[in-house]
Amino acid sequence: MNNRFLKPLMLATVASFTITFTGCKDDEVIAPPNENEEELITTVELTFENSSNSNDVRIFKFADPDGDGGNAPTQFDTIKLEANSTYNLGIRFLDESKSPVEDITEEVREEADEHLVCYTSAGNITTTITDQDGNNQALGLRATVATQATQQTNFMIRLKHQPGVKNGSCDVGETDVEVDFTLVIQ
Amino acid sequence: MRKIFAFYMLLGFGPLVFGQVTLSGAVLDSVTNEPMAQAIVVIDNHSLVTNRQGKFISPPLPLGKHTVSVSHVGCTTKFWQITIAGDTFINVYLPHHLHSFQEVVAYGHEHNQEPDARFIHTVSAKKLEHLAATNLSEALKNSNGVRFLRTGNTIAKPIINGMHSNRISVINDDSKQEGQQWGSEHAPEIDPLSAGSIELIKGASTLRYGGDAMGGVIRVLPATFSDSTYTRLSLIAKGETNPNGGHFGLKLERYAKELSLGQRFIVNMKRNGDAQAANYNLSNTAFGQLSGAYYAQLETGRHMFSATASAFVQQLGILSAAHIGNLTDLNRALASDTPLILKPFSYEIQAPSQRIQHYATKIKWNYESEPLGAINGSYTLQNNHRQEFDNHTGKNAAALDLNLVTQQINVFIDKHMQQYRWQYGLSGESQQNIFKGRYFIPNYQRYKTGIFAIATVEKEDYLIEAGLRYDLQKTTTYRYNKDILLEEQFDFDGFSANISGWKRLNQDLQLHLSAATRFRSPDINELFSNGLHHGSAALEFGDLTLTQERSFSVNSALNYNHNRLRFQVEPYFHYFENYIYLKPSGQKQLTIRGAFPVFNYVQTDATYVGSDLGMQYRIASQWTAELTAALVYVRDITNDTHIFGIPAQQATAMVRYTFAELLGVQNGNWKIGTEYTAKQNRIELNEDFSDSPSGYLLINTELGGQYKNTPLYFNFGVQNLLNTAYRDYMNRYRYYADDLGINFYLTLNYTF
Repeated sequence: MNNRFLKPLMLATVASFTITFTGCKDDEVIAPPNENEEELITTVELTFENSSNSNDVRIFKFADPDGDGGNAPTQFDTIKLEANSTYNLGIRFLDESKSPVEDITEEVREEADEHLVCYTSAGNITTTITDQDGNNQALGLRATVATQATQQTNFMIRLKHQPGVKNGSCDVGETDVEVDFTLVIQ
Repeated sequence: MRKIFAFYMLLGFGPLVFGQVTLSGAVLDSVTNEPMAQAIVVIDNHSLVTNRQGKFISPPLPLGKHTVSVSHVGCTTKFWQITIAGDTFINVYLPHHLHSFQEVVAYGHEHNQEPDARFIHTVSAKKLEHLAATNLSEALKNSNGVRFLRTGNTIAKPIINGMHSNRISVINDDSKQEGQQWGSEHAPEIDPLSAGSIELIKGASTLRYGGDAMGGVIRVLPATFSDSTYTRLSLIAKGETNPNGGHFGLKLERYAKELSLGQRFIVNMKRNGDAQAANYNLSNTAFGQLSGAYYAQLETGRHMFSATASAFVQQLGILSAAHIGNLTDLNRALASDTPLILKPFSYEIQAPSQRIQHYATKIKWNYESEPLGAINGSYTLQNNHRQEFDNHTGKNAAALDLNLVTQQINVFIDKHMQQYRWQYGLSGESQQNIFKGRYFIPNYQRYKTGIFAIATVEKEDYLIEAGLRYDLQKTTTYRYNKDILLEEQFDFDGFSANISGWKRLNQDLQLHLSAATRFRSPDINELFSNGLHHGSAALEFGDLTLTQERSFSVNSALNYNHNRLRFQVEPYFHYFENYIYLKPSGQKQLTIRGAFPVFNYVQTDATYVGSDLGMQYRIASQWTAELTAALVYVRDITNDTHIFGIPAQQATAMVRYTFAELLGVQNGNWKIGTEYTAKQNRIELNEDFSDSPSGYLLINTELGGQYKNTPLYFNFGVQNLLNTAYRDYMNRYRYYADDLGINFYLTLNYTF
């Protein structure tokens, strides 16, 4: 096939279409949205405050600033806690892909009746959620964690989105965050 | 099933006698080949009645185009136009033993007067009314060899020759229907009631509608009008229990002979609540559709103008249990026999949901030129707006919002010269995609153009057609990457060629053969997917370096029709170079939602081998047995593996009883049949989230007929009569829930 002849001909056709249709070429096409408008959670930040020593504050993070896919997470801390202690736990969800960093925790709190943060561990610790939504159901942005003997185990955080189906169980709804930290009790 | 609606063949050309010629012929029963006496043949203004041998002969006629209609008691009247170049004898086959309820399938050259080599199965307008179809898949559901890729009960995409989505084109008259067809949960946005008829063209037997439809083409034809002044109003209503809801359609058709003006207006409404599986409610699967179309056609001398405007709006729920956040959720869903979210029946459509709007308009001009032949030109404007809502953003803001505007110009010239036919044409398209909300595919501006030529030679017992096509597309994409606006250019071009034909081996046996090579450019999602596909719990990565894929295909069909027995064997073979597909990588990647399996768009060489089979046997005068099967085997030959997402083997068996009159029902028709789908065993270990579902057998039955002597037709039927709980490999909800349980339905069709 003689591509050399056809291709210019077709290009000419394309060009004439371009001219015909250029009038409708919206500026919108060349200006796609930049900001990702969907709430994106890139970072989970856990703050443990020792209940018997307010100077003992430990912060641990999981961060994947470019979101799902792309590069691997940049920070994935190991949680280290003292044995036989009780900690007040606060959790923050951040969007570090934006500048300035956006705090998604506020949105979770505003829609408390649709969200639940669950804490699970295979180890010997007791986690108790201490805050509630408007319907007096557990929310999970605040909790206490009581440790016992030294051990290495896991500490899994899940943020569930449960619009219309929230019933106190972690099994329903959609998982927005699921991070399984390594927990060392020393 | 699969009866020839009406067809004829030219048996010879007589000498030209001073421009005065005669048209003679015989009217025969399409099943038995017996002559039909007392058939009424109208040629222009001359009304003739066939004699005992079924024969008729016209008075002297001028050369050129004539309108012929043939009718007989109990048969649908058949109209067509014929160009007479000399004394002509035609055989007209009328489906006298059949009734308008039956599926209508004919091969191209038999159905059309146009000699061509396309393998066509046609669904007539009447059939579409009786089916009360509101989407393309419902309209094609009885066509042999057509399967569906489903997302629940509301989204279905046709599969032909084992292929779907990007490898199937939906052609609206002469221009391609443009939606976001790359998505497996994006169904074609077209209302079949607006169609004059629907043609299903399997394989690659024509290049007229683009080079990229390797699997086949579904062509929606505009309305045709009878050549007399009339106004016809058809009302279509359907009620069903599963999903619980109804459908109402109206079709108003008007033709004014003195003005040569035909108009048609349709409106279609459908609404239903949640569907039910055999044992539970499928929460949030309610559905609503409102569609309408207006078509007008005006003929003046050698010119014909037509205009179409259509609107199509759909809103549908996505099964609550299918919307999952991560692999843990998916595994929990897989481990559970019942969906994790079960709510009582409701008509409400909540998030997650989809709203799809498709608006289209077309103007077309047709001119009969003496030297050039028939010249067709058209301009089409389409706007497809797809919005997907998820639990996060709720009903107010779409999480995914894609707005696609397409303009198309088509020029097509068709010249007949005795037994030769020349077709050539040019098409051009400008398309722009604009997204809002979540990034899934970039904005783009695309220009496409194609040029083709087809030559056909038709002899008494064979036809050969050869075609060549060149396509070119230029796409410019616009997207942000870390605050930098990227403008990227993707250009693809290539040739397609085919040679097709048919041969009548003897009076009963016909062979069709088609060989073609075509190419398809990588689609926008294959290039640009990058990240989590919500709902399928997978990280999907496109590849910007993909090249176009090329197919080498052979399609064939053997069609036998004698007395009591008819059968069709339609084997095909496709070899693909650089076949693009989504391949599971076996790797997992960690994200804030947990680890997800990674899927990559890759290129490989692949083969598709398969066959559609159909057989009808008239056991007794009123009883017919029908068998069909659809087989397909697909292989990645580079990696020597199976390919994910290919339909399992399927077979159907049915018995049909037809009766002239019983308890006030005329032209009645009762059928009961089974539909068996095997388990898909051709899968790779551990590449899917779960094993493929077991095979299943469904039983369906339907009674149809005409009420007394009125134009009221009805169909009453039951689908999944035994309320079998089953899951289908080609349904994306199979991970989460069973398919539909028992359904009772009644359709009514009244024509004034």
